[in-house]
Amino acid sequence: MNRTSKSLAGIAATLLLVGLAATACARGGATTQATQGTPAVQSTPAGAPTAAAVATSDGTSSIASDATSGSSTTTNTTGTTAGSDVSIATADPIDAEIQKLDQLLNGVGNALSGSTSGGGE
Amino acid sequence: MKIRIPAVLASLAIGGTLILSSVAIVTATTPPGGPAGKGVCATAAAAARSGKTVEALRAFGNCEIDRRFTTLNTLAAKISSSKALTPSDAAALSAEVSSTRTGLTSLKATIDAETGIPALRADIVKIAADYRVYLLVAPQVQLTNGADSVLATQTVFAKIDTNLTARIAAAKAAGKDTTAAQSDLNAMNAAVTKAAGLAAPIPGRLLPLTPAQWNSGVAGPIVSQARTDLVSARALLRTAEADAKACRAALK
Repeated sequence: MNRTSKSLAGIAATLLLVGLAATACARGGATTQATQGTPAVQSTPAGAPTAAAVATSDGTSSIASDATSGSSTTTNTTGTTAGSDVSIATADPIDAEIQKLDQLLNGVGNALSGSTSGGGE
Repeated sequence: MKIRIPAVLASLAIGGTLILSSVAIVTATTPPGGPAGKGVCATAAAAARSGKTVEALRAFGNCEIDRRFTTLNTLAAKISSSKALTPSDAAALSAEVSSTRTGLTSLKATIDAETGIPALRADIVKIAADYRVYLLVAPQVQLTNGADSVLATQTVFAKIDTNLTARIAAAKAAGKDTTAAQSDLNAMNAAVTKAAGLAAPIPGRLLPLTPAQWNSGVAGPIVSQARTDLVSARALLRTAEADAKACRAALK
């Protein structure tokens, strides 16, 4: 009886975990985006601009100005020094421009693929 | 222990089922193929071929017109949502889509009023031949949008050029060898210029084309060449993008 109870508890725990995992998978895109948009936990992966960089529409802005804007948008809730947050949030403005390029070039690719359907004519 | 193993296995099985259910839900949200595909009217076409009645031919004709309406709506949405199309190109394309829709609406009314099979057949031929929605209008919209997208990258590359030029100057002032970086930047700018040269004439060549020019064999090669040029331009811009990254890397 005791073993049965433990087994049932195990099943319930497993189901709970699997259910949570399935829900997380279903909401993966939105959750990831929300996490990336949080300045306090934002990292700077290679080739991927930070939210601050993406939001910078003027690509001619200098790295220094980006660092400034990065510090201003960083929420210091953990008591860490502002300087360390600036280094985390600093992004290369060229990354933002390259992202724009990728969007435009993907548009060209879509235009090319969309232009080849004869539609039975 | 004998009890726990089956219990764990059962848990995994149930859990797996839950995961598969989630995947199925996500898959189910993927929209099916659009109604504008050429297979949409296959049933109506078969009925028209076998029955050869006025009703069957009319149904086929209306089906073919309806799927073109769907395609024209998609193209209109693409034009209005495009961030790359120049205002003049967007206006010209919108006018073309609009006039095509008007013409097909008129033809649909003619088909609906037709009572003889020979006349209906002639009307149905006009759906494709007089409007060329798929062979001409759609490529005009898509390729013009693509060409304008290529031209829009010039602004972005100009910003990258300004940024990298400043970095090269700073590196040079610091006593670094910037030969490789400058070479990469020069290559980037050359590729962008070449790509723009390929894309710039495309809208002007495509927009004046008419269904009659397609039917006479004039428009086909122009559309084909525009597609080829756009493929080349895109490849050049990818190279330019790689050059920009190489330039930046050379300065680190």
